[in-house]
Amino acid sequence: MMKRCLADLGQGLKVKIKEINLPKDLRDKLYELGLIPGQEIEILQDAPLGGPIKIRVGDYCLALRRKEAKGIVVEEPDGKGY
Amino acid sequence: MEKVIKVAVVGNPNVGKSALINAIAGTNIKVGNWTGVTVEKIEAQIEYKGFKIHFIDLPGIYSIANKTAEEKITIDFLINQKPDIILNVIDSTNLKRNLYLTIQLLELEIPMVIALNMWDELGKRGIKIDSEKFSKLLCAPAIPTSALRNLGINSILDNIIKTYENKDGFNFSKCEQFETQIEDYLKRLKNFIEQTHPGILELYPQRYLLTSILEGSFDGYLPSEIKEYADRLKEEIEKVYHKDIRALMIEERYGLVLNILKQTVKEKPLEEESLNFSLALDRIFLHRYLGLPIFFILVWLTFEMTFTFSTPFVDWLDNTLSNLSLVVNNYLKNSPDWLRSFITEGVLGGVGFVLVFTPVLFTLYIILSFLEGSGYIARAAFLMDRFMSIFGLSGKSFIPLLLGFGCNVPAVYATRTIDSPKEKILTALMIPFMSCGARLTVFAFFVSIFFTNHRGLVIFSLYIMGIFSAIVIAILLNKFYFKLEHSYFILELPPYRMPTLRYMLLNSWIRVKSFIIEAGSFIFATSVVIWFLTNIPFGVKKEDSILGKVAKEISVIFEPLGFGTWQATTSLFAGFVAKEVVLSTMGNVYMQEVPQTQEDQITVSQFAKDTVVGFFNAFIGLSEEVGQKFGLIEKEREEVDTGLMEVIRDEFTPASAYSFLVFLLLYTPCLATVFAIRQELGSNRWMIISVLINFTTAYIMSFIVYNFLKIYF
Ligand SMILES: Nc1nc2c(ncn2[C@@H]2O[C@H](COP(=O)(O)OP(=O)(O)OP(=O)(O)O)[C@@H](O)[C@H]2O)c(=O)[nH]1
Ligand SMILES: [Mg+2]
Repeated sequence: MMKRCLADLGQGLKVKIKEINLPKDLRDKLYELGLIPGQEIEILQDAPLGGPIKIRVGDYCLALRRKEAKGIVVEEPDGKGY
Repeated sequence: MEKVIKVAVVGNPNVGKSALINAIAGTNIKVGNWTGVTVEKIEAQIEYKGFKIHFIDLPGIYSIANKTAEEKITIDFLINQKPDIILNVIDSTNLKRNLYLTIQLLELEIPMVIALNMWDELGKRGIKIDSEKFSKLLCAPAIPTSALRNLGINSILDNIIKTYENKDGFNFSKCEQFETQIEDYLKRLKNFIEQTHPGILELYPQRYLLTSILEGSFDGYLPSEIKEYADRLKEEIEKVYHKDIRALMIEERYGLVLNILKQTVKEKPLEEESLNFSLALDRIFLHRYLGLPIFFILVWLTFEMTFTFSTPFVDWLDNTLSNLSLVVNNYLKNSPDWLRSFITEGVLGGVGFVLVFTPVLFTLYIILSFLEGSGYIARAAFLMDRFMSIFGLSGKSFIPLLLGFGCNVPAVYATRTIDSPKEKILTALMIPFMSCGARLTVFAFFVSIFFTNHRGLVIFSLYIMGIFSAIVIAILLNKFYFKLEHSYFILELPPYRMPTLRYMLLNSWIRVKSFIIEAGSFIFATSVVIWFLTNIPFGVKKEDSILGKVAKEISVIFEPLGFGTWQATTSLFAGFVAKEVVLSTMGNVYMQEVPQTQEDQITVSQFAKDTVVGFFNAFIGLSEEVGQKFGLIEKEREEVDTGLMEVIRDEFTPASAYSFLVFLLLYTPCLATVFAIRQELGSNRWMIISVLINFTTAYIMSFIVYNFLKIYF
């Protein structure tokens, strides 16, 4: 099955984090911000021209670049793969 | 003797730590609705029930393991300064992420009091928290607070004292329990250290030492034996769990948090009203296509409003101060000429030129503090991220740059929140090009002489030129020196909040006040120095004085820029110290004769009456000004030149005036900024490079602008 990452998904989708494939320090940073496997997130906003995206992590909102979003592997909220 | 309690205020960024201290101790620590407002430890004190409670406001942190520069300040303080108590401030509307830090703080084995801040916002979101259960589960009293509504202040203080007095009765470790196997690994590590280097266990809080060694985030000195042993343990763990230990422990902590939340958060809301409001606003402000145009319109409006709203008050101050000068002059009519000259011209004149423009500053600061308090600043960073990535920076660098429009000095310190050292240096080098409030006063003065019909446009063009120069410099530096490629951008976007009027007024007043004080002290000092230098040897004309002669020699280098006079040169020298004194220095060097005792006299009571009436008229003027903006009212602008204005009008052409302003804009903003750069980048080299870059850019740009304009004007 193909892995889907956060960057591939459109605005308004709710997904669950499966794993984070990013350099270790970056991954730990995101982990500590609450982006751990199992956490539900929602994609709220897309900036134009390949700018950052805005996501909702539980109770708060975070801006990320597309490049980082590519390393965040997600699945459907009910746990099935995408 | 009074007992002193040292309380470290710790928590995630933007949870209201500074606001809470302000509410408790009545201080005016800077507050703003974005992450990274506080970048330095700031102290505040209060006496309460016979104790002296000493609060230390620290930069916000998400974790004690990751360390960027400002996080390091907080973590080093906690570990090395050993505060008596940690006041952990939590955003109750965002418990999960906040509690992650709380769990980690327990590892420091310092008694803790928890402030469940933003309690007032909970109602809006329909969440209920059982704070008593909370206290039990976290081994620390948890008190609902609201810095906004002054809720829970006394309770916090009482609990600090209670916790302090029962200091030894706490068992911190029982609240953080990992699963048995990990605890076993920690125990093994501890046994090993006990056998080989027991001394190390004494130096740090034990739990913190063990977890951070195992996580790999410990950065103090470790004997290689321990490192090797820890590495072996890590390998073992990874084999068992198929995960690295750091990830495992973070997940474990989040597991604990979820467990606590399950037991304490009573009601999960269906509709999250206040968050929805922010989401709706963001749909406009961060809109794919509209976001950027809206941002630029807002910037443009800022300039327009700064001038529209301040003009009537500038006129009023101008009148008041020239009347004051008449009154004083009259009062001194029997004193010797030199004294009269010194006071009316050097001191009063100097201060006056600067004071006249404080309404411009005040309006600018009001607008800036609205941006800071509302949460829009983080959105601006979001919108600009794509653009900033062109020269290797991220949207995060945009925040210090934006703050630079208020004052460059705090902007330089704000670069501390930038993770990568290279990005930080590059950003700090760009800041001096952001035109600050002090420069604005000089622009406003010149524009009122030479460009009355296009005031907004001319000043806007200067700001744009500053930004443009910064970008060119950044692109060049990045291409040939820094070669930044892989920056990342992770930024929390806080909910929008409506800044209170009090907040905006106070914020702006603090800044205007410091401008006045700065200006006042510098003006007096430079006025004295320049007055002497332009009067030695005694009796000669100013241009034959020592200063006149020296400046004349140097002024040749400014000849190609259109302002090669000794007066302009002297003013630029003064401007290197601080832009606040440029106008006053001009007053000192351009005005030739001693003012005559004027014929038109004014009594003190008449003066007082004019001042008050004028002030109220300014408000009428304000509405006219606004009306005129929208084409509702036609208003004739009568121009009354003050002495200096007349002289400047004769000495400069529009082209050389504009060129002068460009130079003023781009060369080193002030000594304070130079020192800030040295301190923040920890290097003399970068300080010198920064000054050189600014001078060269200023020279080149002024040269181009002057020679281009000369053709047309
Ligand atoms: N509604 C509400 N807003 C609050 C409360 N406390 C603080 N705020 C707002 O939250 C924002 C952040 O406040 P600060 O005091 O600057 O936060 P901080 O924790 O010091 O932030 P950093 O210095 O960036 O770490 C500001 O906009 C405050 O007005 C509160 O109890 N209720
Ligand atoms: Mg703060």
